[in-house]
Amino acid sequence: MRLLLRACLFALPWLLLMVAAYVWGPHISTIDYLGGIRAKQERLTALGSPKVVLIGGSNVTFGMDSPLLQEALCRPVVNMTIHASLGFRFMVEQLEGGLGRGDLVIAPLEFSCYHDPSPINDTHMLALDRQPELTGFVPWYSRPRVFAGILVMRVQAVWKVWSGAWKDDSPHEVFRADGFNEQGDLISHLEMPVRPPDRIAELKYHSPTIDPSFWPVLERLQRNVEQSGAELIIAWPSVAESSFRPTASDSVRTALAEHGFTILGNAQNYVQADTAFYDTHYHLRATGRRIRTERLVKDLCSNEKVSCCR
Amino acid sequence: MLFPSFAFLVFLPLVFLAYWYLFGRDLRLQNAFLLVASYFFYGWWDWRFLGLLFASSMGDMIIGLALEGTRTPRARRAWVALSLVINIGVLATFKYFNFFVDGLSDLMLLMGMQPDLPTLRILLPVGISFYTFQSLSYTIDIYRGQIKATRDPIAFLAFVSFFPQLVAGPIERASNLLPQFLRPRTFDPVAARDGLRQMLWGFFKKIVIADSCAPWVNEIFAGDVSSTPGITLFFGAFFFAFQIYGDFSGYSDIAIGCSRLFGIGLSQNFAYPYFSRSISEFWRRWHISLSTWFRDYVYMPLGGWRTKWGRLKNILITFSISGLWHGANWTFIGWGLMHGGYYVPEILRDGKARRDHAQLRDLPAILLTFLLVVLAWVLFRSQSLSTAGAYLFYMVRHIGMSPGALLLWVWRPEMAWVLFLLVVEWRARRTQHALAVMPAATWQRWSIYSFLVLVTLIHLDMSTSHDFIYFQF
Repeated sequence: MRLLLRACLFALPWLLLMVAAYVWGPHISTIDYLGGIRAKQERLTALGSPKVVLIGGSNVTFGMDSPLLQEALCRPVVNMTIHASLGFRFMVEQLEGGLGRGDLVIAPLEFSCYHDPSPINDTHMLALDRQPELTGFVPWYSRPRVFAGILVMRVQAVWKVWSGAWKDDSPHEVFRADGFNEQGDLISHLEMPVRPPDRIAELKYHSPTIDPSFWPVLERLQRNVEQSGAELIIAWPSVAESSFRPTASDSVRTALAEHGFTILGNAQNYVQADTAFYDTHYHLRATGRRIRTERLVKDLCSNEKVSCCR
Repeated sequence: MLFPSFAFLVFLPLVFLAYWYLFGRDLRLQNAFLLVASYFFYGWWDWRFLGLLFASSMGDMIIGLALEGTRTPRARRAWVALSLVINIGVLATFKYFNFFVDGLSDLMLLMGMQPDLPTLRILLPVGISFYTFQSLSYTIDIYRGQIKATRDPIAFLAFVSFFPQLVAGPIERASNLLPQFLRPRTFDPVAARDGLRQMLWGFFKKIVIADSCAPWVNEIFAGDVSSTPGITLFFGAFFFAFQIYGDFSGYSDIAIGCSRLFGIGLSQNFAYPYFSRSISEFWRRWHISLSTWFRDYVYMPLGGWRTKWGRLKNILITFSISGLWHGANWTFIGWGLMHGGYYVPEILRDGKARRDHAQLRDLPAILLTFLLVVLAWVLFRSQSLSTAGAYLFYMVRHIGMSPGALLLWVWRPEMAWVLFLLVVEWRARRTQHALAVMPAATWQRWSIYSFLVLVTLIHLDMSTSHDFIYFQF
């Protein structure tokens, strides 16, 4: 018992230090890109129905021209996407209570959404650090871990400021909360050159098999959509040519079909040259983004579930 | 479940409290609880392999009982052979099947045949090499008459699956660990405090040393070696030496310290190996539980070790098997053979093993031994023998000593932490672990703990999960 008391006595100042760092210390990152979630969430609840809701990952954040989509579908668009690492489950949670009759949910899911639909990682810590109100989208059993991570990272942030590791606190030129347009598309990267020059990071393919835990999440989204009187369209993400694997796409289409879901269009249609991308195989720049949106509009308008106005 | 994880931070205090306060009065309940906790710990990673762990352990327990009940040498040999077949068979299936099939395919291609051999797409169960060896030593020791078979399945299953050392050792002998599960344990606050200190040092080594060295190692080993300066390649290997040491000895320190919280003593697995003055001394200090396992169950039974030639032959055989134990790749076998080759001068010289501790005057011998070990680590870390060969070739060829390039590597925070580690461990080299001897004044002790906690906390990388290297073995 004495050892326990001593251990607690030793741990107490550390806990106090972490709490102090949380209350008074700097945020865990100087990049506030995930701060963009707040405006998206507000737009989702503020917009009436019918509307178009985009979920899926940063391929949509960087690579969707929502004003163009809005014009083609004659409905306001809210682009909820920001980072695939938040997980498909988090995205589905975000939509609960935000859908209404006549809404159209478009989900160009990245492969990590199929492979690991409910991850808990530093992206959640980054998101919740600035927006504690997002806690509700994280499963209750993962919340202690996320908050412990935030506490540790806050102490590390204090150290980085104190040691001079964070010399420059100016916002990132692309990854910034004010880098989005009204609909929620990121626009701060559109005219950026490819980075690094002429080479983008290759997609690290996960297993082409879909994790079994993906299906309950998809079914939950489907239920929410049906109960709200909305429609769900699963679509392909935009992918750089060097990272495209037809076999992986085929296996996704087949698995979805086996579970009674269809995926819109052809994966090959959403493949573009590597030079169309900014920094990763998913992040389109201006020209590629327009082409991708036009192709999506074409596929949507040829689908009987979707009504287009042009 | 990883040691440096939030899950373990919750798991350990809960198990500790329940173990001593709920089940502390009844040994059978305590063992049963440890068993459940250990299976939970293992299942957290992948529950599907719990069945394999259970079946493999039960198989050895039954064989142990059968061995004890059999008197005829022939039947006893048959039982121990069955244990060998089961354990090595499990290991071969999960770890080596594809390696041997690929080797056979290559051979058939060389002979002009068109092989179409099947390969397995299976996940390697974490820690399989560790628990099969631990379990196997139990049946061999019964066969040799060194220990008695136990009739307590709960104690035996808890012995094989004891969570601190289940996935990466130390590989305990039944003669040391099993009796500790059969006799009542009392809480020893002095041992527990020392265990906590050892865990703290283990976390420091894993998080501050190993995880800080890892990015440099990954970058240098993944790069184009032909256009990389030799000094950079050398520091790639140098940092890997400390990455693997920090990683594995850090794990061992956490495991040993953690088990002391439960009143169970594990054997020392690392004894400051980088202060060794010869390769034989290095192997008496590095991964001691595996080295002694191979000494007792492979090297000695080979016989003929009284002659120089016999010793050399046994060492080469033992080291190639030990290399293969680490992984199904020729690089590991090459690494083992390289270490076996390092023994040649010692065998020819017929020198006596030194049992004393290193002094400063031994520095030249320590540095030479360290350099040989670093060179061998290149094979261990490389993807193939050809890439290892190219790495070593360009490291020597481009080794030009520009002071600027040298300074670039020496003047790094990682290097400062490596030096800190060496200084602390040098001072503690006569003890079981680096924090075994502490100042008498409480404020001094607590200052040291606080410093280590702070440094570890600052280095803790929340963005990625850093598995222990030895988990893959």
